[in-house]
Amino acid sequence: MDDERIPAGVQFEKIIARHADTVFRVAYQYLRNRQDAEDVVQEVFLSLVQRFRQLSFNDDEHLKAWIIRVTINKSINAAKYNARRRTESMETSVLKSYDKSSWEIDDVLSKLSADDRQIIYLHYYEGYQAKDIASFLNIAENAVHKRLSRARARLKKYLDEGDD
Amino acid sequence: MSEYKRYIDELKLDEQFKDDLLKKMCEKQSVLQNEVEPSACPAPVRRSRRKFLGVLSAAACAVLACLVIVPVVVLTGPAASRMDGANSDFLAPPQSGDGSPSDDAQEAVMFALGQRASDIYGNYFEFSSVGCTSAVTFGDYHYVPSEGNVFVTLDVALDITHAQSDDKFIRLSCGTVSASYDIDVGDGNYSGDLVFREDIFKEHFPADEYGRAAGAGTLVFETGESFLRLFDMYPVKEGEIFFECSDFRSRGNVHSQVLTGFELSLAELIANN
Repeated sequence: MDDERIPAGVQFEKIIARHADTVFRVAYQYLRNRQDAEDVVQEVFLSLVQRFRQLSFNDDEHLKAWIIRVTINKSINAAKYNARRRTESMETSVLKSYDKSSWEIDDVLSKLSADDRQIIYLHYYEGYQAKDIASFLNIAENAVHKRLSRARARLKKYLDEGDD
Repeated sequence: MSEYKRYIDELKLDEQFKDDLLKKMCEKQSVLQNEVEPSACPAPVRRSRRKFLGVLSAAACAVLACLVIVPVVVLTGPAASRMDGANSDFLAPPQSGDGSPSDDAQEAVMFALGQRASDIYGNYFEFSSVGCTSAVTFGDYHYVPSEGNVFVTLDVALDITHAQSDDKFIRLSCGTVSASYDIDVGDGNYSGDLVFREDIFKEHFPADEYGRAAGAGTLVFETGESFLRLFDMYPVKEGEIFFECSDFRSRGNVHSQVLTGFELSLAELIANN
């Protein structure tokens, strides 16, 4: 994964292409605000630069898992900091389209806890299983199963059968 | 593709943001390593006269890698979250930020059938099996549910005789114990509440005036008869029944799990059959 012959800048470009949107989405589950989520994206990738030569990843999935863990930690920190600041976001929504279904889904998700949103995203979009999600969130695997069951009930309308 | 996936697809970064991010990463890389990375970095960089020091620091970082990475993996891996039934260590609460505990943690913790839920004072529950029946008998006492209902029984070993930080004891009652099921079966969803039979508990596990009780026995819940049909179709296997012990409390930087009751939840029967 970390080939010394490939310039770091080229590696960074590939990593951004593969994982930046994922980091943004993970951060957004906690922060629900584009600007704050983008701030976390920047923090995460600059943190990666800081530790780039210290860390050794077996493959891209290994790197992705590390990135997700760091993003979750930084997002939680940012959410707590933002709660204390109590500032109003300049942006009302991260959605750029006017698709009614997307707005409905966003509204349903806004009523869930941040961890529940994260579990839903990691499972239904990224395809992680409960064991991996439990590792990311540092909770019991059983808790992940239960929350997925609840989430499935709430989002059933928006999930295909193949998503289960 | 599901509507949810389409919704997530909309959540993405602008290309301009990504370009700016790459610039910042390259700049930081240059500062850290004092090396030229011309290929993908849009801004020109200068070769540093300190290249030797950059190579030396990279070697040092490689040496330190095992010391840095391994402890992080140990602390955050799933093994760190597992309960060992042979000891009474409690499950650590979810941690936030850089790993330091959150003073605001109020997360319920889940335990599966066969796992022990305990707190720092020595109180614990350990549920070993679940059953569904139309009557229960304890010695000379015979109980039947209301018409149209069934009993759901949990075999348990418990000890709630230890005072907690407020010098109070856990009292198992309808106020501290709740139970429900929420199960997807094919295209349908079966859900309902189970009522804790506090009266049976008090007679079967005689507690003193403080609510202290210890021993092995059966907790009894009552619910609608439809649960029996579900239970017969899909017998609960070990690991499929979850209960939560609520109320983490924090004292400064020390986080401890304090048992104040539990919520029983039967979930994912079908997924595991």
